[in-house]
Amino acid sequence: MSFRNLIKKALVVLFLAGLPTAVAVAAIRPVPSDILAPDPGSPLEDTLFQSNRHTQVDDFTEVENDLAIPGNFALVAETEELMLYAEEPSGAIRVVVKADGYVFGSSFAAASEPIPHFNETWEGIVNSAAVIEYYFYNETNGAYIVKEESLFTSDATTMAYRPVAGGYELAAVYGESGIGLTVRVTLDGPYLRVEVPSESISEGETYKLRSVKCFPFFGSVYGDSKPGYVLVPDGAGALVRYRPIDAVTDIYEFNYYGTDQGIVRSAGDDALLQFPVSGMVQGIRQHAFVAIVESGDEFATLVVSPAKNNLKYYYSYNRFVYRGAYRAPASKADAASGSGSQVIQEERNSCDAAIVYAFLAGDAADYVGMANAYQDYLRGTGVLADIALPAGTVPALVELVGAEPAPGFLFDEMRAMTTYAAADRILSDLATAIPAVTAVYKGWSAGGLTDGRTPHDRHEPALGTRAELLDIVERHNAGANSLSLYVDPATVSEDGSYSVYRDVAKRIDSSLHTVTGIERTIYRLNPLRTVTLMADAVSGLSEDGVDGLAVGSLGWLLFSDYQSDDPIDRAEAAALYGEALSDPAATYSVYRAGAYLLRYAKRDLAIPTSTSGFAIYTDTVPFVSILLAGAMEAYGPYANFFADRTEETLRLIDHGLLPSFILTEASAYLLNDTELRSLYSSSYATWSGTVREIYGEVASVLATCYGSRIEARTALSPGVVRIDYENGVRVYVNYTGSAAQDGAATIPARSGTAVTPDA
Amino acid sequence: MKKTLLVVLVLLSSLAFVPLLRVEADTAFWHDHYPYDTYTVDYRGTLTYTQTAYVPLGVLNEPGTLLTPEDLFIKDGLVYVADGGHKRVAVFDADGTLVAEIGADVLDVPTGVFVSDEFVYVADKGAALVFKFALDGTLVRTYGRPVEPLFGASSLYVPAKVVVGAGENIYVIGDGSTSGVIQLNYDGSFLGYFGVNLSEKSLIQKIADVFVIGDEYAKSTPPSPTNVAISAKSLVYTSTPNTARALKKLDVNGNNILTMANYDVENDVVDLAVDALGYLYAIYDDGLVVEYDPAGNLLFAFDVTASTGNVVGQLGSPTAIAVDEDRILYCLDGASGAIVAYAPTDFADLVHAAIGLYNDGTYAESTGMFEAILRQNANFALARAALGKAYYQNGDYEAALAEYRLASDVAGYSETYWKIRDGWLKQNLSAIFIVVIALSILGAVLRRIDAKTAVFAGVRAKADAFLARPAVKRYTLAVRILKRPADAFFRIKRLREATPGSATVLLVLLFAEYLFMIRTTGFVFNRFPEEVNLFASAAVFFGAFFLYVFANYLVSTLSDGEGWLRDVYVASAYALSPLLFGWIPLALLSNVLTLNESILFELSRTVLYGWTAVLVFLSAKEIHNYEIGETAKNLIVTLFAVLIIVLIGFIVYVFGSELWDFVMSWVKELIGRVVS
Repeated sequence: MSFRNLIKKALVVLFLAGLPTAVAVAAIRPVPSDILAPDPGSPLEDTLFQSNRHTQVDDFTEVENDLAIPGNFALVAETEELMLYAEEPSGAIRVVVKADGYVFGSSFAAASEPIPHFNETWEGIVNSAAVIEYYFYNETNGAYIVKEESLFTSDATTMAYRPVAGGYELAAVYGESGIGLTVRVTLDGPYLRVEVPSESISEGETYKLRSVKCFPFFGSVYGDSKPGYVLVPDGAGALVRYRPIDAVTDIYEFNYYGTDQGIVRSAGDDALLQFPVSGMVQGIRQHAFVAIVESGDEFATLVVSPAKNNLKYYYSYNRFVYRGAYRAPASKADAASGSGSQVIQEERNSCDAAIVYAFLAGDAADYVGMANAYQDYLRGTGVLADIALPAGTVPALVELVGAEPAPGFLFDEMRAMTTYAAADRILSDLATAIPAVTAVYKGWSAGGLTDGRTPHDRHEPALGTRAELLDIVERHNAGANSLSLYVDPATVSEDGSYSVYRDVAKRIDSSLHTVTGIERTIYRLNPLRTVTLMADAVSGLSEDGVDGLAVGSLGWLLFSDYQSDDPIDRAEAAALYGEALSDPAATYSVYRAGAYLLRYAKRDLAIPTSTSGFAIYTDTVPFVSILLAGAMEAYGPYANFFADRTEETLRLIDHGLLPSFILTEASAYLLNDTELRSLYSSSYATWSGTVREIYGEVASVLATCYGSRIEARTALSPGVVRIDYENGVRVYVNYTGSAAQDGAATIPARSGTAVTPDA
Repeated sequence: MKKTLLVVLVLLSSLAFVPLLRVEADTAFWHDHYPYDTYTVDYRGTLTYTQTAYVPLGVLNEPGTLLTPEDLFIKDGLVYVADGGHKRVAVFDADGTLVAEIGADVLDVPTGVFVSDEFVYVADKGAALVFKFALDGTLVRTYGRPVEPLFGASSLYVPAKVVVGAGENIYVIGDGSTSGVIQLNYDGSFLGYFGVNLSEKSLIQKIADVFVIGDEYAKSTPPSPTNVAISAKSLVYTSTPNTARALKKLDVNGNNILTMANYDVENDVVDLAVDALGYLYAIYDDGLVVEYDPAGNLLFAFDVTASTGNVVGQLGSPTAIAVDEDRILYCLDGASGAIVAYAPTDFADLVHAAIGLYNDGTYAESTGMFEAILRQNANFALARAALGKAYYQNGDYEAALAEYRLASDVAGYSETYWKIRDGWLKQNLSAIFIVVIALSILGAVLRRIDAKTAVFAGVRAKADAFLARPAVKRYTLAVRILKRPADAFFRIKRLREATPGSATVLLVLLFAEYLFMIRTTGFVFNRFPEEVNLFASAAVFFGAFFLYVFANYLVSTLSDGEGWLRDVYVASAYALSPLLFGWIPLALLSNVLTLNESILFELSRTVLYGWTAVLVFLSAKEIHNYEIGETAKNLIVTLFAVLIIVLIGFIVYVFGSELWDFVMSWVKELIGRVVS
């Protein structure tokens, strides 16, 4: 070091020791608004478009009707649309769709015909109207095993068959287990209804009922003998196309509305089936049915089995579970490892099992037809209101995050991400570009988003004054724009305000219903408490003129609660959640609203565009968005997290979903040490241009067809789809890197276009 | 020194490896559902969420075409797989059609495959040979165990993996070969071992070595590398599970030139691959796939472990990874025999393009791209550091400083700060000199006036009277102790000039300064200042102090010490006064220093703590009236007593909580049985 430098440094030390250094930590430089999109050209494009992340090209080969009506089946009911034949006493059925004469059956064929590779047990299952499972206690090892019993397992089984109006009833007492139940099968206009009334079930002392499934092989298909698929409403909607025997071998069982986390602690990444519906196709756009679980859906699962070497049929059915088994931990170690003595649920679930089948013929016999049939059913039962969405005006969801608690130097501090004034600025600015802004303000109340105080009626001082808050609600909740305040009446964080004894739900093993968050532990609330919290929030806020609420958790989180001696099962919880959102003083926007909440929801803010990607799936299809098309505002995933912006934007257009964004005034890096760590990009300064661009791309296409139902969706070639709307508009989406052609229409590479009827 | 230790511990614990985020309730934001989350490294050096970097394209091959495959290699659009179960090398085209099989009649347990422009090399564990085939599948020759004495008579030769570099240098990974990579010439002659791992003895082994008789030292064999890859420039990369440096990039001398710059993955590496530009891809035993840039920075990590069901893109048991020229990743699932392909997303392409420009030195062009990355992910620390560098090159030091701060890049921050400070000094140096000279002249003048006229005598008298008050003297003792420690301890012990009250005040003040120091120490010397828990630090600070005082009192009562508990407490508190006066200036100083002057900071800190240690030593000596030897003994025994007290406390805590658990489980079981 030179002498000169030494002097210089000594002087620095001398004179600057006390001077504070100003470091502009938060100085984010303005950046250009263009997004760089490197060339996407990928040699494995075909592999991608033929993977189950996309929709496959259909095989329209005509299928033969191979199911006859055996002589011992008698016609028991007939409507304008259907004929029902049944076998006495087994209750096996044949349904004739009058429109095209096609026959669907619960069993394969008459008993005299050879059934390939089926043993007696399986033959009994195939021919039974209802198959039960019951718990069998093994004295030696103190564990329960589940046994299956069909109507033909035991000679001691009694079957009392009697015709009723529109169908028949079969009262059976299973010989082995002594369990009794009644299956009622009736026609109701275009629907076939299969019911097992709860009050008809009887059990002995020894054997307890686990589950019931009706007509498990109804509509089953031998290998890939007919083109078609099973529809699974996982995420956006998934298809299981019939493939050759043994192409896939895993059997899947899905819980509607996810796993009941009051009984089973799940890892949180299981499939979420928003609607209790499934369907099977025999010959695409020829013959199909959709099975709607009308009642007992909270306890129902969907089982999908591929054709395997031992059982060469594709089949799917709904199983109603009356009792779960769990492990009762005796110690902390047990609780941690999930062990303990095995126990079964004491009370039977209050499950009135009922499935409604609607049959589809001709062009309607595909997943689009199923979605529309289900929409008709929901409209018929009053779940979906008969409203018309304003055509032409395409809304966009803009969520704002207000405050969030973060670890501070000595104590937690409140990070003001979007103050009331900033929210006003952002919404006013966006209103100049988007004709209808659906705004949701998260983390607006005291405690911020994660530690929000309940009930949600106090403003957060770090964001501004209450007057400011009410002012922005008033000004941005007008005309085509809406502003909803976010509340989550089912969840509190460990640092939120609650009482562990009164408010927090418990699991069946008496442990507190907690889940591990990113930084904090999250508690689920007792559904009864949820109702009162929601009532407090609605009454508190409506007095101030706030009538729009966005409700977290309730749409997709349905669990049973064992906090009190009188446990709340999933059906009761669903009813309570409905009650929580029934006050007409407010309108409710819900995230991924399950069917049980659809009646109360004005819009759904989180419709997925993908599935869980199980290997059994062959396609991703926009089943959920088609079923909501023209009936409810439906928003897609946040554009903030798009890894492939073009592809994901095209997916929004393809699925007919509205764009959504989550924004803050401050930079998202401030959230990296908080519970909101997964929100890593949200600053409006960097997003304002992109929001406009993505909105423009989506709205330019959807403006022609928004509010209209979807009539058909066709994969023209891998990665190219055409969507036909009821109003005559045709939307083309080309995901591939090269232009595609459909008749006169040219669809440029990686683009979406609308062709109006006049054009 | 205790405090330095504490600070170091706090820092270390915050730097400690954070396991992958496994979150049950991440539903605040509905991300699109990919079968896995993707992570990058944030400014705290931990993994944080980012956009999906690689999406699963699907399974390349038909089910059943592979049985327990061990390795794969991509060459000219063909996928070569060491198909262990079928004893062959299976060759697939881009559509996944099996187009050829190689060595079906000669291979036994093929575990490694490499393809050059002309030949296919197969490492076969069963046959203990490396096979060399022509591309059409005809066997050219085999490479058996080297006969050279240098290879070692007892060395194993079980070829598990093989790569071939320029000049047909053959690198063989042998199972259990602890000497490194076996390097063979094209004719099979042994060239030597390459890239040997160093053996490391554990602490226990080192302690054991102290006590052994003769040369029976604890044995420690170096871990053997288990996999190998080679770049287009014939640089060899090896992977060794269970070591601190799991991934190595070896120069021609076999020295590691890869420094894992921003994150250490702790899992056991299974396989690695390197692409034409030097990006490194590794797959770990639990399914973590990690991409590193050529400098060794972690770019993306995602976990392809199968969780629920059989999801496309998840693997049951990953055995190999390969990458093609379009950066498509191929992972091999040993359990299901599937080759799963993953394609980079637009976001990953953007990151690659930006780093490419940056590595070429075209900082200005890369700026826009890094800004675009940060727009999409504000926590992408690497982009911030790169952007900082670009701004720095551009002369925009203020912006560079902000980015380096957000990237937690100390070196870059320090360098930039030096520039800014230099500029400031150049501008203001003359002004500073003028002020200094003016002040010293003023001082001299005032002193001269005072000497002549005694104009300040009144003020001086008042000040002396104030300082003589006992309540004030208690605290000025803290200053006196710095200059005349023996005298000060005499005043504390005999004259009782200091009280427990004043000692407590000093302690509390010191704790406040401790917090201030943590908070204000400059970024260069204190990367993560905000991670402080008030109660925990207070507990540690006061706990450590009181524990020392108590232990010292107990020990000295047994060894004829004169001091009472009160004396030990007060004297020990006063002995810390160098910290009381040193911490704040030190913290302030650290704000204007750069890494270049870090010696200044370290030196001051060492002096400060050394001084404190001397005073603590003197306090024990004076209070208990010990000789030097006695004092040293006393302090060592005190330290031991502290350890014993902590240990006992720990044992009581552990047994107490076990007892509590036992009682609770007993009660629960009782309730359970009564109820059922």
